[in-house]
Amino acid sequence: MRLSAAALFVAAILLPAAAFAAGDPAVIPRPHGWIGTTEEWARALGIAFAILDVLILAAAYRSHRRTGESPASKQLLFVAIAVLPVGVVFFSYFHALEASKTVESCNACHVMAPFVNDLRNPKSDTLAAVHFKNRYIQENHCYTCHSDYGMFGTVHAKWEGLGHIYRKTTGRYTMPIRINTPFSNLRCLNCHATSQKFLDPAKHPKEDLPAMFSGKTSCIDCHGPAHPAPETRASR
Amino acid sequence: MSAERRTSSRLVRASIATALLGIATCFPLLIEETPYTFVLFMFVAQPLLVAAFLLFTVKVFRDLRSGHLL
Repeated sequence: MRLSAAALFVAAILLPAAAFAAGDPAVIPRPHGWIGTTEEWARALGIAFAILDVLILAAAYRSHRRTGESPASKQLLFVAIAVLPVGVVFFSYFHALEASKTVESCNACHVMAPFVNDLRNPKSDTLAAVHFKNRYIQENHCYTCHSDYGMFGTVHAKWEGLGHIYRKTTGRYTMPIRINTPFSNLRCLNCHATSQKFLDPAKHPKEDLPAMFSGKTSCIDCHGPAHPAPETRASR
Repeated sequence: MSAERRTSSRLVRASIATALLGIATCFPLLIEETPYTFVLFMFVAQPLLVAAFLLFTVKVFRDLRSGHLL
């Protein structure tokens, strides 16, 4: 009896999760045995846990109404209120933090559309578009250049992201959108500093390197613009 | 039904309703991540789930006290 209940529980979670994780048929052929990414599975498990929690809450409510408090209704309540929500929150965070790195997430605010349209324009020669069309960055193109590296870089980026959402929601921003702090060279150098192209003295003389590493000379000054000029961006 | 039982029953119903609302506000984020669904999850869903847990904890403590187990 207990075994069948456990099997039912596992099936209730895994079957919808597998269905959600499978998602849309991929345009690019996937490797043999492809079952989705970790992020897709986290999202799918989150949805499965949430559905299961709603069902258990409904069962607990029904049981409570019919028979009053019973050990069974208390157990159901404990699972639905203290256990499953932890899973839902965990998978929601996992999904949200991963999904918030994508270009689509940045593009969800219409003020970002000129930047993203330029990024995806194969005819554009801005730094962002060059990185995008040549796949210098594999994915999460906005996030990769606009977050510092390491654990606290990620935390800082998320914190700033919340600030962006607040300003967007309350309308506390001015057009055209501009970066609020100077772009750090370290974000470029993290990828480029050890490349032969960068180390070629004909392109970057050795005596100029300290100024680049300290940020006195900005990469953007010579290699920009990173994005379309402010006057070409749409107004609010 | 005694007043104590009525209060206990209300606490159970309130915690179920709050948990349901909390879970329901997690769904938009799980279906599609946008800045708005993320804010909804951060500032509405999570406090609701915590509130549901606290209501349930209060109910459990009351039960334990009434049974002289605390």
